[in-house]
Amino acid sequence: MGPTEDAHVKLLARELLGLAGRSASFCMAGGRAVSRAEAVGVVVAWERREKLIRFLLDDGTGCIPCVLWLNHRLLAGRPPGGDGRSPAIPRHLAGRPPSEVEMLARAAEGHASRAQMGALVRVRGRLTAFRGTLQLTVGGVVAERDPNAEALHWLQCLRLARRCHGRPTPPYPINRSATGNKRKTPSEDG
Amino acid sequence: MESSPAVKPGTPISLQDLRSSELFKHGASIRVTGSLQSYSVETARAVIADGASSLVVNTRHLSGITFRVGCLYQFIGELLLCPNADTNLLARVGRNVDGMDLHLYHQSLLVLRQFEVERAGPT
Repeated sequence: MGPTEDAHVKLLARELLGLAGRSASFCMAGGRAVSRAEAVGVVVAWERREKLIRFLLDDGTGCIPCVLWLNHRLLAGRPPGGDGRSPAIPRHLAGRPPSEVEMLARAAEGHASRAQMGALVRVRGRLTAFRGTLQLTVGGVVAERDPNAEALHWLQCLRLARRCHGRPTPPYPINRSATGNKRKTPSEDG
Repeated sequence: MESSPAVKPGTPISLQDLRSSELFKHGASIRVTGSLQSYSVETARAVIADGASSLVVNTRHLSGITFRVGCLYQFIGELLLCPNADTNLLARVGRNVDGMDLHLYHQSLLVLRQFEVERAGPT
């Protein structure tokens, strides 16, 4: 597994929307796999439905479609294998006690309350596809109070894109002798 | 994979560069930042300025924002070029950005544009 595959990778909307792939497996132009992303931007469209909130995050380079699920209580009531008509309980809720599901539901509602129209927010989530369109299934929303946060995010994304994303994934575990950082043993110090 | 958001992203641009930019056309989605020079409650017409450049912003679609002269605001919306009236921005999103370092913001914007040109160019 590459370093970017299971981390929340800071991405500009233009980079994120340009990711190649399907379903839950995406990769950047340099070939690195990415499944989670972090973005900072202004909420420019917002729609609440029964089980979810959809919003668009504009970071100046593009608009990222985001979805935040609010169906924890509904899903937790389903049988583990599904009942034939409705799908099975998702993995992240399976086996959790009701108190924990309630906590997750409240956390999701808190995230939803922060994703307000016109707010500058930082979102983290999984990259998913819905009807052929890439979207971010949001796991967390933080309201940014510092108006400079967006410019800082741009610069961090550019730095990562130049230094890391375009390069091939190094083999793991890192071969320390190849990097020249091998620590000398006391006997070598002589 | 393609994206299909109906809303166009508001391309950030400084007020100084706006009139000489290719974004200066009717219907362009832009994001501008400036300090509030004046605001009329009756017409919902705000004027923001950055240095010697200013822009009229129509805020009729905005709600929940308190306008104070001298404070910094950022607006996202569509540019309306009217032959018989001032050029104005029909804002769909606006927020107070007091505390924003405008110099840092403009410098970051330049670096971002440079990066986009690099990415768009031949590799």
